[in-house]
Amino acid sequence: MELWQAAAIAFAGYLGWIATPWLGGQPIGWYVFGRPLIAGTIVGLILGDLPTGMMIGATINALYIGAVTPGGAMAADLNFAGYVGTALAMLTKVSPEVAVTLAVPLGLVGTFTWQLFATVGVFFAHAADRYAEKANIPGLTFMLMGAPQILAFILRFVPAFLVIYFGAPIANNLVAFIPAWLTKALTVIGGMLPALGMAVLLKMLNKDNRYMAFFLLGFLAVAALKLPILPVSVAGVALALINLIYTSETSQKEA
Amino acid sequence: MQEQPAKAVPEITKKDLRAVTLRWLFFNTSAFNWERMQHIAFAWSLLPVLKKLYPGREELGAALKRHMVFFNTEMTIGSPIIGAIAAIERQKAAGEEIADETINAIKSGLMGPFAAIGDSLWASAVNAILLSFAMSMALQGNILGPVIYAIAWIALTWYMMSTGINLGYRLGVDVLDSEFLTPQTIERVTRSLNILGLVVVGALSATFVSLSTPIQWTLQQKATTLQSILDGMMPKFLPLLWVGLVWYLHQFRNWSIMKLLGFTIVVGFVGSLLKIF
Repeated sequence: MELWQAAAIAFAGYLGWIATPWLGGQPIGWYVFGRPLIAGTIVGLILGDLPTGMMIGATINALYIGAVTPGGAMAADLNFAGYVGTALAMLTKVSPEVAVTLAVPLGLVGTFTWQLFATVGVFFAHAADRYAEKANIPGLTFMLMGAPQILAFILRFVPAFLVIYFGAPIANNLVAFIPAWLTKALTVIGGMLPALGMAVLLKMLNKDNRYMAFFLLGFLAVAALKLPILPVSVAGVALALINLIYTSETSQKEA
Repeated sequence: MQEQPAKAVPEITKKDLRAVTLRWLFFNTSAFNWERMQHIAFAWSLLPVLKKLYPGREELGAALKRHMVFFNTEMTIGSPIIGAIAAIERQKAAGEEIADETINAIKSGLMGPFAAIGDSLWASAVNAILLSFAMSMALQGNILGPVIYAIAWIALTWYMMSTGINLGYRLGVDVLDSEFLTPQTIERVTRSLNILGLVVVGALSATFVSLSTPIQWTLQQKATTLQSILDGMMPKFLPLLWVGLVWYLHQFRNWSIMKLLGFTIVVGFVGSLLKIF
C-alpha cells in the first residue's frame, strides 16, 4: 500500500465523521459518507478494487443499520469501523465475515474520540460565550469551525492513518491468529449493541409506562408477524391518529 | 392577523432563510459538546437573520447570548424550530414584549418531541429502509446501490430541512399567539407522536437487535436446543429481554451510555465464553 492511499482513506474518514461540517455536516456527511456502505465503496476506489470494498462495506454496514446517536449517545463508531475496517480487510485479503470481526472492535474504540471531542468542546463553548456576548462574529465562527475542527482532524485523521498504514502488516499476522472464540464473542456483542440506541430512544419517548404497549405492538409486528419496518411504521401512524381522535373527543366532552 | 409592528423591521427573505438552512445543515454538530450540545451552531446559524434584525453591536450580542443555551434536537426533522425562532426574533425586534425565557421555553419545549420523532422515524427507520435496499444491491456487486442511496438521502435531507425551516418561519409567530397551539394541544400531539415513535422503535428493535443461545441438551437420544423452544413460545424473546433490560437500566437506573457500552461488552463476552450466547 502506498502512503497516499492510507492518507486518502484516513482523510475521507475525517470528512465523513459526525462533527465534520465540510460534506454536509451530520445530516449528510455522517449519514451518507460515514455509513460503512459508502465508506467501503470509497476505500475500494482508493485501493483500486471498488467491488470488493463495496461488498465488505455492505457487510460491515449490516451491523450498524438503523444506528442513531440520540442526544450524542454513540454506541458504535460506524465511520471508523467502515473506513479502517474495510481498509484493513482489503489489505489483508480476508473474507467479508472476518472483516466484521475487525470492524466491531474498531467501532468500539472509535466512540472514545467522540467522547473526547464533546468533552473538550466544553472549553470551546465557554470561549464562544465571550465572543457571542461581544458580538465578535469571527471569534464565534472560529469556535464553531476553527478550533473544534483542528481537534476533530487530529482525533480522526491521525489514528485512522496510523492504524491503516502501520496496522496492515500487523493485522495480516493478527487475523491469522484471531481465535474462533473471539470472533464469536465480537459477533454476539455486535448483535447486542443496537439495543443501546433503542434504549436511549425509549427513554426519550416514554413519558408514561403504559405507553410501552405501543413498543410491544411494534416489536410483535416484526418478531411474530414478520412484517417489514415500513408497514409497521404506517400502522404506527394509524395508531397515532387514533390516539388523536380519542383524546380530542374526551376534551370536547369535558368542555 | 398580526398587529402592526411597533418598529419597522427588515423583511426576512427566502434568501436569508436559505442561508440559515445552509449554515444549519453544514455546521449543526461541528461544535457539539456535553454541556450545551448544539448551542453554538444554533446561534451561529441564525446570524443572517439576527444581523439584519439587530444592526447595533450591543443588541446583536444580546441576541446571540440569548441563544447560547442548551439546545439539541434531530437536525433535519427538528429544523422547523429554527425557522420558528427566526420569526419570533423578528417580532421581538419589532418591539413586541417577548421575554428571553419565552423564547427559551419554546426552544426547549419543541426540541424533545422533534428529536424523538426525528431520531426514531427519520434517522433510524427511513434511513434503514433506504440503506437496506442499497446494501442488497451492493452485495450483488451493483455499484448503483451506494450511488442511489447517496443521491436519495442528500436530496431528501435537503428537501426536508429547507421545507422545515421555511414552514417553521411561517408558523413561527403563530406558535406564540395561536389558540390552536395551546399547551394542551402540544401535549396531545406530542403523545400521538410518541406513540408513533414507540411503534417504530419496537419494530427497529425486533429487526436489528439479535441475540440467541446455543444451549442444548439430549433427552432420550434427541437433541433439543433451548433456542427452538424459545422460538416456539415467543420469537425474538432474548432480544426483547435484552432491550428491556438496557432500557430499564438507562431510564430507571440512570446508567450512562458509556456504562451501558461497557456492560454490553462484558455481558456479550462472558456470555459467549460460557456458551450461553
